[in-house]
Amino acid sequence: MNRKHSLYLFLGICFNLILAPIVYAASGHEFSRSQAWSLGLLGLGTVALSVYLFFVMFVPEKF
Amino acid sequence: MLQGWIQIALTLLIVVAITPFFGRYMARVFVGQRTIFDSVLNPLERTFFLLSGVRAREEMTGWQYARAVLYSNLAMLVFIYLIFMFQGVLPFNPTGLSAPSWDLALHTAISFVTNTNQQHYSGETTYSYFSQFAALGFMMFTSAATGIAVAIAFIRGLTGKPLGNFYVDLTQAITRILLPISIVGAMILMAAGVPETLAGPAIVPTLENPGISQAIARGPVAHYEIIKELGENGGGFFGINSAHPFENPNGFTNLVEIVALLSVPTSLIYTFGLFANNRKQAWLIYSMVMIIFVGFIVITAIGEYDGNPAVNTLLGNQQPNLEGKEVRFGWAQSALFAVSTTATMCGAVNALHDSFMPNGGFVTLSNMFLQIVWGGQGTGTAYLFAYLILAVFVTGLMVGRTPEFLGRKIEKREVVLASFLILLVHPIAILIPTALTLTIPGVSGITNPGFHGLSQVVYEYASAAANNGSGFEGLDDGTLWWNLSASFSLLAGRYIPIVALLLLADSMSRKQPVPATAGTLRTDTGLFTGVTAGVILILGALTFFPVLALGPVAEAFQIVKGIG
Amino acid sequence: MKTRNESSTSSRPIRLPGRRRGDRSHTPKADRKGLYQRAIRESFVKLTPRIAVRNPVMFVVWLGTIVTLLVTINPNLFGSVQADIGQQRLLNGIITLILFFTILFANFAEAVAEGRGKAQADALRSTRSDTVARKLSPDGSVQDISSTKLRRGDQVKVIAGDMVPADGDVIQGIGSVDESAITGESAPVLKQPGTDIASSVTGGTRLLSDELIVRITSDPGQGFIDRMISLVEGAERSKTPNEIALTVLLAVLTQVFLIVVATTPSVSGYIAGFLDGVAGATTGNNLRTGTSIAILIALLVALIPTTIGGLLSAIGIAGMDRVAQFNVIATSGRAVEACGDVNTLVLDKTGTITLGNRLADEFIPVNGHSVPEVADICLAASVFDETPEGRSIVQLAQKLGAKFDLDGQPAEGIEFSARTRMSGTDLDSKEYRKGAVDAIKGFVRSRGGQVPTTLDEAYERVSRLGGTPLAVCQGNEIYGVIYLKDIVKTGLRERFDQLRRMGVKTIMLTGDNRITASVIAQEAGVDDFIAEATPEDKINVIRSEQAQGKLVAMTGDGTNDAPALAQANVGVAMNSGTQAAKEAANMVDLDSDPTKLIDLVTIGKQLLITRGALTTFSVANDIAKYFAIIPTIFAAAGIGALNIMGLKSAQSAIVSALIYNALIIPVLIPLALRGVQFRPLTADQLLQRNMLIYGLGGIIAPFIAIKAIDLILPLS
Repeated sequence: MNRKHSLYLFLGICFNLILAPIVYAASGHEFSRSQAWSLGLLGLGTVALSVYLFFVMFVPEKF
Repeated sequence: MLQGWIQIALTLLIVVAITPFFGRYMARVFVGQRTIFDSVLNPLERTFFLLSGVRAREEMTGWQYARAVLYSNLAMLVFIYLIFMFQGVLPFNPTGLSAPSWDLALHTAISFVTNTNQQHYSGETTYSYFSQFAALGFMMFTSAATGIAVAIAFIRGLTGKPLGNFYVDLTQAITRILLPISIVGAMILMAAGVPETLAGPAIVPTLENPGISQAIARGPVAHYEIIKELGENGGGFFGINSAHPFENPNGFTNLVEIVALLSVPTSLIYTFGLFANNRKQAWLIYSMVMIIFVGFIVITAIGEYDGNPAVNTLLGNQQPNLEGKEVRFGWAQSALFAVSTTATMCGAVNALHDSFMPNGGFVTLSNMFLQIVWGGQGTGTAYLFAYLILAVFVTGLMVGRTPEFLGRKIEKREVVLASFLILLVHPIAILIPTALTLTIPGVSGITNPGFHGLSQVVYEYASAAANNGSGFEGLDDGTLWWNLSASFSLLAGRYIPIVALLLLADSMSRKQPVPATAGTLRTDTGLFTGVTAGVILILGALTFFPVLALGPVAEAFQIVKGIG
Repeated sequence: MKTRNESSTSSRPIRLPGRRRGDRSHTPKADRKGLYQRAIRESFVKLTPRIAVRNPVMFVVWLGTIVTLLVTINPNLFGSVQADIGQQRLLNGIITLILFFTILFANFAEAVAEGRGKAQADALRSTRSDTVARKLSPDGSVQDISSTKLRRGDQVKVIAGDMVPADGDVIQGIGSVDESAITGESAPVLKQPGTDIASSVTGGTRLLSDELIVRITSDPGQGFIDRMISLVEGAERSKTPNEIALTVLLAVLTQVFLIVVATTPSVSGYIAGFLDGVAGATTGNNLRTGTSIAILIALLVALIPTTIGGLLSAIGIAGMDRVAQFNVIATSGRAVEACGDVNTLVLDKTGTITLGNRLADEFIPVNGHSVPEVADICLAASVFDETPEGRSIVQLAQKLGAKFDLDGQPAEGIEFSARTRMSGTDLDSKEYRKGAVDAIKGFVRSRGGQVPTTLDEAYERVSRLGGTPLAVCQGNEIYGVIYLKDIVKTGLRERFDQLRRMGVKTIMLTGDNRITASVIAQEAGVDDFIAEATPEDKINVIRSEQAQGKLVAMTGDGTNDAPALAQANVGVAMNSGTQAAKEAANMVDLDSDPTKLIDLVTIGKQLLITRGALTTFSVANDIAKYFAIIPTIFAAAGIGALNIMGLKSAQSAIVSALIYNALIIPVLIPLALRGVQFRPLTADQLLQRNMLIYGLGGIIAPFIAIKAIDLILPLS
């Protein structure tokens, strides 16, 4: 169980390696590289949270 | 001023007067009682069903009904997409138009299949006569009839009856409701001066300089016009829609068109009352929606009547805002048309919404956010009852029982479907693309940056998601990004709710009804109707408060204070 | 006048039985000391992600707190701060702190509710220490084993002073058992085999006298007390249907507001860019500062329904607890919730609607005798009758001035038997008899007497009134008829009226004939009755009501009630009842008071109302929060005039809204635990009332509270 979550976290960070440069490029020079990186991660976190909420919506019995 | 208000009041009176008769007629059609068309249409329909292999007596479950809707719509989508792409080689193309770009054709096809008729083009210069009447005219009937069929299936399910058969409902909605009224309506419009011809554009010398000739676009407009309003399609034959003097030449045609576009969504509420055998409930809901509707009209009309303070200062006296309006309609008819067309998801326009005062922007956007101030062809009525179900659920627990609507318990499944379809789909289909459009550099196509520009973007997606189709205009929306992202909103805003509505109806119809007692929450009371209005306001409208605040509301303050 | 009076008394709040009986000793007194310390400790334990993830709304707050903590440490994490960095850090820190407390408060609410159940469970567990059981081997020898090793079907011997090792049926012996450990009733209960009801014993109770042979009916860990423990502890607590549906709605609302808040930065970013150009960079940056990540998270937390999200499980647990405090054990929360939905109550007449016994109401003389004469004879015939009926006859006779002197003569009581259907007294040579009219007629004839015609008239009169007629005679002379009346319990009529107003129908079942039944039904005010009912009738009436879509509740105690208890949506078995009945029911009343069913309906409704009221309140709060936050954080866009509350600044508005949002949870904990006061009104009246308090109140209260907090806060 715990291993699965660690794996997701790791995959998320890996995916962010692709996402962060896109954010950096899209924003012009408004953000620094590290800010783009954390923004990317925040965006991924938001999407994950949204997925979690969808899960709650369809199987509320588990919560 | 008084004259304008009297025009508005009279129009609404006619709409209210029609409601019981039209509502009862629709109930007769879908209950299967005798109508005057039976002797002609029954044999015709039987032959048609026999040939197409539709087993007319077979009742469908929610899933079957939903699948029938999806498959038939997909087939029609492919069909009209092909017509667009091959219009260059197809007949009735006097101006020799070639195929539009693939994404524009796709967007147009989707927008007509979904009864939205959002147009990222000018009709007379993009699509041939054949495309207009074979593809678009055809879709105007079927997409409207699809909406009516879904609403009827939903009402049947809610009142504990089997859902019926999609193909039969679709056929009857066309043959018994849309077609007869359209034929009569088209003749009335022709009599009032709307053209109906297959001839190409008229070449006439101009009055000022007889040496120069001018091509005046015309075509088979009258029949197109009436179904555009009656079916809440809204896609104009001409680019400027019902503001065009051939589409809407005078005050009388304007009245006919407004009444036509309000008639089905208003009357369907009454049809529900007959199905549920509770006309009191129907009239209460009707009054609630009417009050919101009238409120919206007043807000918009006052804004237009008072005019733009900046302009008034220059003029030195107060003048109505007539920018982007046809003088023959004036502030009152334009405001009424704008509110009605966004309320009913018709999307036809007789004035430029972009030029309305922020009041108008606020109201037209709110109409599309709410989707239940009458609402779209059929779907609006269904949404209204989905809101009612949610209101029952949120407040119904407070009487100490598991919430019930029409004697059927609201449980997990119903809450999932109802809250999902009316609370969630809309923000997803409007806010997310709006955010992307504003974030991705160079795609927005905003022509009037600032608060108004935000309204332009939000309006476009709201119009797509609510299947309205009207445009705020002023947006450079014929691009690949706009065509595709709006297509997403169109599809999400149309089919997710339809499937959810049908499943909701299905699960409600399967429930054992609980007899009403003194302990049952009555939904046909003024109090509960008020509660429903509160739930609609809090759950439906507040979601869009931030964009409304930064869009039309900020613009209104900007105009008043003159900052920026 | 009368109706007004009625309605004014009826809208009085019902004092909930739980509290009324709270002071009475019942289920082993739970130790409430240290409850709050334990709850505070628990609220920190519940911060563990594994537990936190189970409450979707609060989990969002939990995640938000982590992010705000990060931007407190580094305010430039997600974008360079345009304002003073120290001030931004301070604001982020304050937001983090408030969010953290919001979660703690929600955890605390749940922990307190659980703690009450746990305390009760601990007390129960202490009664269940392992005991040594004397197991009877098939060959008759006794073998000492641990009670945990007993299996279903084993036979054990219990001797005075022993703890009954497990649940079972008495198959031999008579003895009195102290059941105070589970019922709180200190009077010992007589247990003997055969009699349906008195034969069941519960593990953990103590035998006071004699010895019993008991056949064990439950395996270890599945006995009645074990079930009680796991139930009050909430170990088996699964979500009830309404709770599940509500969870869905809360998740949808959270999702909606997540989308709203997540899309706000790009919208406000676009507007900020526009403002940079037209009104200068300061205005644009003000808007950017107003929509920094921490503020957006604060907005999200303010908008999502944290109030109901934080209190939802506490409400459910407290509902179960209220039932338990009322000395009823429910097998599931679902059963408690179903109580609120009940449409029909099926009630036994005897013991539920009427007192178990009939009482003498009138003496009707026949054959020209006078009332005092009849009273004398009745007294004489009843002096040895120790039944409640007999004693009531004696009482009535004495009230009428009758005397009975033995004068030292030998007197003998004649006991009632099913064969003779009469009882009486033999004094000297005089035979005083009372009994069923037919039996006395026969007795009189056998002594050569005449049956007067007026007897039948009196007999019919009593029957018509719904009473039971008893004839009395001395020797061959019939003196009169005793009118034994079924006494309807006091206050029941009002209760039934209340139930009717709540839309609950009552059906009375009785073995009496139609006439008697209809009279009692009318007197008690039940809606319907079934006379000459058999056990099958009970299940039939339940089925036919259910076929109409109604939910039915009933009480029962005998083995032949078991099928009906299982069929009913809410079946309440009496603790004094048989094991079979208790197994079939979904609730067991430890006090064995069938009238409690009516109170259970109230508790069920109260649970649902509490949940609905807090949901409405929570959702209605959003209007004020929107109007506090949006205009202030978007003030740079020129919509400051929408700040109708006149809040000082964006920072102050955000912090005020969040503080309100956090504090409303502990403020509402007592309401969540105690439940909303229930009044027996119609649904429309209830909706009107609760809408006014929780709907309208939910709109107005936060406006006032947020403004007040804003005034107090030293933020600029």
